[in-house]
Amino acid sequence: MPDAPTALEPVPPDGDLPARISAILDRRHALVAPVRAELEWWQRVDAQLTALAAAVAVLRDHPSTSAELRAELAAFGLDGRVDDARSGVAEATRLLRVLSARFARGTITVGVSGKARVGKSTLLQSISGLDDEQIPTGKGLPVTAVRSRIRHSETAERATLSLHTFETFAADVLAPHHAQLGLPGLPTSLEEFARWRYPAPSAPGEQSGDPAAPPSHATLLKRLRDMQAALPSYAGDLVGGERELHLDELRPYVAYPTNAELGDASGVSRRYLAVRDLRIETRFPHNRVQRLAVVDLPGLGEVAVGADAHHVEGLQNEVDVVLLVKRAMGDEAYWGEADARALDLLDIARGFVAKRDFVVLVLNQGGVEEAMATTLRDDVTREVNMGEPDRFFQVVETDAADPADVHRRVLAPVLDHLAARLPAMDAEVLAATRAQTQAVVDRIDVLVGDLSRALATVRAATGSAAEDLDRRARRLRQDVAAGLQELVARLREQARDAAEDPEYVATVERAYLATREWITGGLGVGEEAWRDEGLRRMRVDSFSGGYAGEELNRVRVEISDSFERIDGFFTERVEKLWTDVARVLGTELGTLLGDPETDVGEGGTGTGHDALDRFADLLDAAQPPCPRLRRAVRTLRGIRLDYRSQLHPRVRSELDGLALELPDPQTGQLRTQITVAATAAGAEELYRFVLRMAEQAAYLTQKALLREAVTPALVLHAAAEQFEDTVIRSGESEVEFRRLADAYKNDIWPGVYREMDAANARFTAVTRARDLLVATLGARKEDMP
Amino acid sequence: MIPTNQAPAAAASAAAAGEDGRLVYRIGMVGPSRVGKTSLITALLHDGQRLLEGTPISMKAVGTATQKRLSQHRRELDGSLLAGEFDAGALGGSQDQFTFHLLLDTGIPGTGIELQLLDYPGGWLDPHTRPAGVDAQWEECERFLEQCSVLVVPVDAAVLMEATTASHLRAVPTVLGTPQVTDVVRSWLKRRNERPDEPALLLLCPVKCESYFDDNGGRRDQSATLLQWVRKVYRQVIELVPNEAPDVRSMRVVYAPVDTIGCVEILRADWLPEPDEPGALTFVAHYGVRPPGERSVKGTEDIMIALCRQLVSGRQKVEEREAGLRREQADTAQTFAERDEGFFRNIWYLVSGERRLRADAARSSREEAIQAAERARALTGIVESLARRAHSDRVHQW
Ligand SMILES: Nc1nc2c(ncn2[C@@H]2O[C@H](COP(=O)(O)OP(=O)(O)OP(=O)(O)O)[C@@H](O)[C@H]2O)c(=O)[nH]1
Ligand SMILES: Nc1nc2c(ncn2[C@@H]2O[C@H](COP(=O)(O)OP(=O)(O)OP(=O)(O)O)[C@@H](O)[C@H]2O)c(=O)[nH]1
Ligand SMILES: [Mg+2]
Ligand SMILES: [Mg+2]
Repeated sequence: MPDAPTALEPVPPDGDLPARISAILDRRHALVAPVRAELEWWQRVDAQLTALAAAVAVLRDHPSTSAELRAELAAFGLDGRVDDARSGVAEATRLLRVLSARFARGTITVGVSGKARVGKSTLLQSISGLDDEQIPTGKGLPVTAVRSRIRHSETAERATLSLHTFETFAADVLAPHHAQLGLPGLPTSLEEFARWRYPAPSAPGEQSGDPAAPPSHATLLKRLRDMQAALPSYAGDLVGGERELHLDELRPYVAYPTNAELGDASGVSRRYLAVRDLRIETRFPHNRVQRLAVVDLPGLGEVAVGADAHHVEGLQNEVDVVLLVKRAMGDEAYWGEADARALDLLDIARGFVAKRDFVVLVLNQGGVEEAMATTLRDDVTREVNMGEPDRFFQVVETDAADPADVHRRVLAPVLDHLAARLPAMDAEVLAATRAQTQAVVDRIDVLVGDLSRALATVRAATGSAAEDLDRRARRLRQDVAAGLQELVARLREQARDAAEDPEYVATVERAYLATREWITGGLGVGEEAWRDEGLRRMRVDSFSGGYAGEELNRVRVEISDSFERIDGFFTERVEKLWTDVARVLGTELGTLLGDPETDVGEGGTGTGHDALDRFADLLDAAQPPCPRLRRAVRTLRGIRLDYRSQLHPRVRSELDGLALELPDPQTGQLRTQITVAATAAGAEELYRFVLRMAEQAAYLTQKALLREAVTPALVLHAAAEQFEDTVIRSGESEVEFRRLADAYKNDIWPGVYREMDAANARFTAVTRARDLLVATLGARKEDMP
Repeated sequence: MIPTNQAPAAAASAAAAGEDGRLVYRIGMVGPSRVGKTSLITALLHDGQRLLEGTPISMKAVGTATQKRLSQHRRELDGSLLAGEFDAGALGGSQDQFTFHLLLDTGIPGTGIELQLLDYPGGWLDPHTRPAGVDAQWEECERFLEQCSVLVVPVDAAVLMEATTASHLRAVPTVLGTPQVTDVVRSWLKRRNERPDEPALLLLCPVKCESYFDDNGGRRDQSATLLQWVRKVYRQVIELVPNEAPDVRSMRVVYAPVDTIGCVEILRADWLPEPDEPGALTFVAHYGVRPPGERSVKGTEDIMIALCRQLVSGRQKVEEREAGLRREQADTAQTFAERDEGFFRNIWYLVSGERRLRADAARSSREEAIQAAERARALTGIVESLARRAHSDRVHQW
């Protein structure tokens, strides 16, 4: 916040008045931006304070919040203190708005106040050079119906009406009347208002003669019915927005109906009801101060609800000085109760400006008998200034209808006063606002400090979430280890007595029987066909070796292929291993791999390898990833067990007998196993031979496979052991389990961390809101030394 | 012929030992039904003849009964070989107890070595499968088995080698009758321990080995595996030897696999569930005949070598004792021989028979007598040379 003394330097006393005024206004202008910045800052504070309060309330009221923390927060007394702080912020904001309006005005603005009919409008006519068409005056009845701000302009000559919509009209005008009268409901549309049934007016009762006295029921009701009755006259104006008018057209919008108009049988026009306010630009005669504006207001004591408040409001943000006009009326020439009350209202409107600087009493002595003028002057001196002229308030006298007199005796001294006093006035306002806002800041500081202390006592409790995860990750690893070790032990058992695997034995035996069937069924072609073909070929070849050799080769390949049947068993076994491992993992990993009971294995929709693949992907996707575990899973998934690649090479030699020529084991020399004559008998002999060799080869293959039963079991055991070893005992195991736990804690322990996270989030929301506010508060101190 | 210079009692004893006073060498066999006992005996004869080709000694079946049995067995076997394929059940099993008499013949009456081999239906071994009414015969068999200094345990190699699954392995002891075999071996050993000076020979003879050796037409050598299996399955039997006959210093345990047929090869083996006994399996091996289907006995030579070695060592012992005894008391040898009913007495007869032949030859200058003495010497020479022969690679000694 700008420092008052430096911000508002004193106007050079020797400068002429317009220059001094101009300098003052320029300096004010320079302060607009910082004040607005501070306003924004306060709005931010308000928003952050609200957010903090909301976050604290959520944390405090959540059932999962620890009793300890809840007690802390309850003891902290959140609601009352935040409300208190926020009202402080609201007040600071209001003050800054006043300040901002004051500095942003761009004109020296003079307002008038005083009871109705005292010549306020007359006075302003004299200043502005406007006449009754723009600033209505009149005798007898109150005249000025709307607030007008009239600004001097060397060039422009225009009037701008700001109009109500029905809604703003209902809210600003009808609602206070209804409230005051205790009438239920409020019209929501023009039509509704037009049809609204108001009670019949009773005879006006004990209406007080005092204009400042609150209006009676009957009078209020009559006003309301008058508005309703006159609705057609202004309904068309309730369009909102602004309307620019020629200065000559203004009167119907700004003045109350005259006595003559009120008597008009064709209805009374009350177009002023549609007007929120009026701005006029015109050239002030005899004016040396360029940036000058005056504000005309309806007189005090106007019989309208909220009129006084409006009066204050209109002055508060708009004017630098108020001319409180007092005129001797009829046989009254004294400072009465109503005048005192008017002064009280101005006391509210002045804000931080000193009374003496804000209010100048103007005794309008025009057309007043000298005796009465004297009486009034003396009474004012006595009542207002305790008998000492100008002691508390400056008092000037003038003939409001005489522009020259007004200039000489009112405007010039007032402007002179302002030129001298405005810098000090502004400084006072600034300093006072600063003190007030600082008090609010201090209050918020205390609030935040207390809240931080309350939070600090329970921080340890929420910090344990990380420890909990550590502990759970460790246990997860142990449990996975136990599960895998059990599985490995089972597989080791199977590998040890591989011959006991009846499924494998049965599978091999089935494959063997099928192979034998193929052989004894005629080597795939039938005995007769085989022999016929054999005979034909041997006759063509004129020896048996060609056909015999080819057939032995063919049979060898067939038998070898035939045993591929057992691959189904291997596939099942490997899949079972994957499923078993996936089960072990799945049991410990919550819902990460899906439901271990329904998703994996028999009856489940997924398969072990699907689950492992998913697991590998998840390990990869974790942030940071778990490459070692992932590789272990991929390796496990990579194991292959099939007849062709694993067993065939080991049993291949059993098929060696299926060849026409065999090396003599003793000499190494090739020996033809059989030669037959190219006859039917020879063909039969050859058939018997091939059959026998085939049978033997199939038998030997089966036998070898049964002996190799240990191989599949060993492979599975080795794969599982390797997996277990890597997963549990590799150097990265512990770290990667922690990562895994961290990345997928909500899947592994569903609910646990979601809740813990949510609780943390609630806590963090509070600390974050607190931190934001603290940062904002800190920024203010930095920006404004 | 009754030796004139012998006491009647001694002569009677000698007569009991062998016709014409020739050396009788008793060989016992213990094995279940279908293991190949009978086949092994016929193989011994078959191969013995081959072994002695070109020597003055021949091997022949003694007596019509033995000749009948042998030719019947041969016919059956030849039939099987001709068919090209056979199951182990093809040959009818032995129906009764029968002692085969095989003579290492010098051509001279009263000389030679007679091998007496007791054959009996393997089913008698097990009380469960022993038919009613053969108790007396079985007791005779047992007595024979206890007396003989050589005990042959034929082992069905196929049962060992074709057992692949756990259920097969569980069935092996039953199929091979190892508990019964062990019992017989145990009592044999106990008796051997009563005569600790007498050489004793336990022969473990795997038969049906053709598919597991590559030295007799087979393609693959799995002999090491076979030895392992025999060791494993007959461990108890082998371990009995030091336990039951610790005093028999010249006890020898010889592992000598035999192909009694040779030209066959296992095609497949079935382990058929025994309908009455759950879990029990019957082993049936199917054999194919290797062309051209000529019997090729292998391994009996090793049995002969083992037998000859035992004979030689027995003879040495007898001669040593005789030498010691002769200095003191001429008749003591006779007494000793009479007292001793076993192997030594047989050897003593052999030795004294030879001596007698030599004395006869010296006394008369007859061509006959000289020839007889030479033949006797030839037999001794052959036995000694066989005993000196190295065992084949198949053999293993414990
Ligand atoms: N001669 C004379 N008449 C005056 C003077 N001041 C006011 N009047 C008259 O007093 C009456 C009321 O004056 P306005 O200026 O309308 O009074 P007001 O204070 O504006 O009244 P509201 O707008 O009703 O509050 C008019 O008829 C004026 O002509 C004055 O100084 N001299
Ligand atoms: N392949 C093969 N078969 C053999 C061999 N020795 C015997 N056999 C077969 O085995 C079966 C039984 O042989 P045997 O000699 O009768 O057996 P065993 O022990 O006398 O049987 P029992 O008289 O019932 O006690 C027969 O079918 C023989 O052909 C051999 O060395 N090789
Ligand atoms: Mg007026
Ligand atoms: Mg038999």
